[in-house]
Amino acid sequence: MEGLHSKSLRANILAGFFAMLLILLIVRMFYMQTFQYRNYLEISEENRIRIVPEIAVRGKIFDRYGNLIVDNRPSYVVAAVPNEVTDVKVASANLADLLSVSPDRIESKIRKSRSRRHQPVRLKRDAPFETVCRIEEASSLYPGVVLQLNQSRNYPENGSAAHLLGYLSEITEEELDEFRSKGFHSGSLIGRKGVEREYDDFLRGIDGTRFLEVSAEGRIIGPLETRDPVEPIPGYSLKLGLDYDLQQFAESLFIADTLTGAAVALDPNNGHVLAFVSEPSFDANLFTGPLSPEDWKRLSTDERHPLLNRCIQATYPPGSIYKLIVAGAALEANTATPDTKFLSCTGGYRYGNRIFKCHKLSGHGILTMIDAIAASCDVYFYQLGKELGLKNWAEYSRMCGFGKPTGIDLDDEAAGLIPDKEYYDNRHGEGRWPSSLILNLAIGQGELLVTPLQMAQFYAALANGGTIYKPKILYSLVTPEGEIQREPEVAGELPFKPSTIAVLDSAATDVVNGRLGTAGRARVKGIVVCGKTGTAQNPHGNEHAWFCAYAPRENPRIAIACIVENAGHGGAVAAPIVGNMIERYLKNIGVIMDSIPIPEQFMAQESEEGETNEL
Amino acid sequence: MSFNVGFSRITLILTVCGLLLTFIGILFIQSAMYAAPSKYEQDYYKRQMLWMMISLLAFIVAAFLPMRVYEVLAYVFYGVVLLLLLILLFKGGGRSARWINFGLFNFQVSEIAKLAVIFVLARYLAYSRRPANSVIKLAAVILLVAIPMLLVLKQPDLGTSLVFLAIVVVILFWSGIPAPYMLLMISPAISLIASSHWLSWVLFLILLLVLLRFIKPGAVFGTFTITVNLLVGMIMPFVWNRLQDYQKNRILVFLNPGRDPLGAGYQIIQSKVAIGSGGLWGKGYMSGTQTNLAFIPERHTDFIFSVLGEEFGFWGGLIVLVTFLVIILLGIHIAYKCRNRFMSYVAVGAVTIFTFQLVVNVGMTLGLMPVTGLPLPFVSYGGSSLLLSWTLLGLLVNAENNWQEY
Repeated sequence: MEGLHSKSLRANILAGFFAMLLILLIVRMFYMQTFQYRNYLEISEENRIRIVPEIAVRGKIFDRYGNLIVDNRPSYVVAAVPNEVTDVKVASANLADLLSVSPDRIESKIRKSRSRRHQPVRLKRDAPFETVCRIEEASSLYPGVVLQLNQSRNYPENGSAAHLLGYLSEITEEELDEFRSKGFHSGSLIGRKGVEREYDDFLRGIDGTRFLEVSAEGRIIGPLETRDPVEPIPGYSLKLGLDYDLQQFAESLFIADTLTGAAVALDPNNGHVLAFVSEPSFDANLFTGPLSPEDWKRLSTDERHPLLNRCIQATYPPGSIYKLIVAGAALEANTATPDTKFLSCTGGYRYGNRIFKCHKLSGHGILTMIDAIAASCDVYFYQLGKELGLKNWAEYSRMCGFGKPTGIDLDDEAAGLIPDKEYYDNRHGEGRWPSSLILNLAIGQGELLVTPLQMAQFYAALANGGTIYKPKILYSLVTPEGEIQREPEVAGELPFKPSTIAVLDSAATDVVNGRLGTAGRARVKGIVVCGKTGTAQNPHGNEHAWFCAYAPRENPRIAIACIVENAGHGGAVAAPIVGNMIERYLKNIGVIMDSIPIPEQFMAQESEEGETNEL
Repeated sequence: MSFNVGFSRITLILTVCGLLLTFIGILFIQSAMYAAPSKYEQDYYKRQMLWMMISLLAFIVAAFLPMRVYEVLAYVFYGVVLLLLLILLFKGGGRSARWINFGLFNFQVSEIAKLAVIFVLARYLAYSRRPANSVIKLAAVILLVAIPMLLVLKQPDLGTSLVFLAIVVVILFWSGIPAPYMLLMISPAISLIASSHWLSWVLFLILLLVLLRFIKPGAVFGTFTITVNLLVGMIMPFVWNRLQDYQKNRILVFLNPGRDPLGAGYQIIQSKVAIGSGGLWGKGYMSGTQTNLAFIPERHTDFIFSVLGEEFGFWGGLIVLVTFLVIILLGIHIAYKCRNRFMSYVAVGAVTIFTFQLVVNVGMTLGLMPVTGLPLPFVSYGGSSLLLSWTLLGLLVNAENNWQEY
């Protein structure tokens, strides 16, 4: 056995071995501090800088007169720094009651925090003032819990115009990956629906950046001296075409009788949306903080579907309001003249071996086209439609803007449905469907589906003499450099000659004002209202009440389509709503005077009375 | 015995090296903690100065106490330390279990245990009349180390128990143990690491067979070595499962720091960034952004070298490492020339502790070693560690001053 007998050999081996280890350390250190120096320096720079976004103030939303609809208010976010939360279980339990969020949710939020451990995790946005106070008072009870000052959106509390305005919510991780280049960061709010979504890029502004020097514990030492902060650029405010007073007034008409339905009012001269009512509505403020599961359940299971935007997402059979389109098509296709008379209406019309009923069972007798529209005689239109034919009917319907989205500046617009030969062939098999289908389509029933906005667009075009404007929510952008107005956009022309339009116009006048008319309840003192009632059959329940109108006849300023679900006859329920809306709007813009102006000498007396009342 | 009133040059150099390292330590403890949130932490360097005074006293005592005293008391000291370790074991678990309260100062028992192990091994080997290749001697040595080592491992303090392992291997080597014995001693440890993957284990076994053929230890011994290695390799997975989670995690994270960049790997990554960003010349005293901003939690103790590497750069680190190299080489020189066998073993043990802790600690800050919690001798904050460093240095000086004595 060969041993290490020599003491000097052992000393040399030991010294050599130990020295080698130390040289290894020196070489490694040298390598790191020379060749890898740049790399490590970069990391160390990043390490000590915390880039904190400074949220830009979101633009406000005004109505056409500059009345404020949506603004911002300061709010508090309750957040927790995972690194400083001593006991997650205890902290979650303590906070659960206070924030009315379930303890499991809080716990998983703190644990699953993808970001760094000393980056605060938001637990509750928009915490009530009382909660904030309690956390402030007993901060030692909540280690690691911090309060962050933030801005929250302030929407009308009663849910007014909620479908039009939309709401915001926190950006998801997936969206963040997609949109990071647009200046979003973790925790950014993004417009989810309505105007907030459509004009998010304008409203949002550009977030600023503060560069802070931080310690590893996340303690902020102070602003970084070597880099100046980037100031946030506030978002542009929006001026909508909306008449907020008209909007609220129209909503009150629905709410007063707990009606379900929609009303869209357009300015016929440019397509601006004056009112955009979808009832029932919802409180958009609920969505600003994280929506509680209870609220979500309540909203999503409500049988009246408050989240549905009935103006553009719901499609209905139009019923008799569609008769103006059919009449116009018949005149243009030369299958009828204004004086064309058909078989007398006896309350029904026999086609093949089926009898198609008129809504007036006693019958209308023999009518001209204008009278037939005014009285809404179904038998007349069965015959008019039969002459017109499915092909013409579908073509003219499309040219009038139906069967496709109007292109309004809102998302998720429905197209509606204009059935044609191809549609029926697909559905029933080629030629295996009765030719009598056209009879129903001619009175606005059958497979035909429209949105309230499409109807409003058509009546607006009729009112202005034939120009179809693309409906517009946005009136102008309010920028520091001034207002940038949105030009009206022409989507097309009605396929109707002026003479055809004149016939339809006088028929619509008679509907409201004539002897035979069905919409006397839409009359407005001092001006002439033109319109058409509709009663859409609904296989699921009561008939839907429609009324479409424009006014004043000589110089139309407003066109409205209104539907009230399951409310029966259009003339009875929808017409008064529209009449009231027209009156309100025309007073707002000064076409109709409210009353004789009070002479000045009486004014003092008035205010005195007011004071005594207050006392 | 003769008292050397005039110091030898070696004594002087060793003292200067120790002082240099201790001053550098105090300097960087202050730099590491001056931005700390509490006054208590900011004053760590002052406390270290106080400990330096006590340590210098210990240094003088260790250097001038007659070496016979150590020889005589070696077994008693060893017994007392075992008792203390046992008390700690029954006192309860957790990290606090490593400390015992000596009135004013808390003292880490494992630091004294290192000293006790050196003395007891030196004492036994110096007086053993058995031949170098005696199996009984080998077994006795292993037993003497195994008892305190298991007690420390149970605390659990993996780092210190590895120090014991290093001490016993080097001291046995110093005793002139035959090469096959060394192979038998060391190869299971390598087997332990190699068996984490079947390929590395097979390669190691082949290498082992080649070595055995080269050394020719005889049939019985060779078979024994191979059997032990095979056993270790097979038992390893079971041992792994018995390890504490934090220990497993530390080893796994050492192998891949990116595995847990915010947890256990965090310190290693941040330490590497600190040293790497220091460059050749460093960022300047108290200007280290990494360390001052507390990216490294244990920057004043285990990671003090990161602070130094960041603020004084490569040259600063080089000074520390070269100073240690001087101490180590001089220590080996003293052990070589020391005629007294007991003191020769003690000197080798002291050098082994310095080297092992240095390599593990600095290796850790450079990302070469797992996080074990071993302090850097002389430099790291901590009274027990500083006291032990200076005591060991005192023993080296003692051996140097009395090298001619038998």
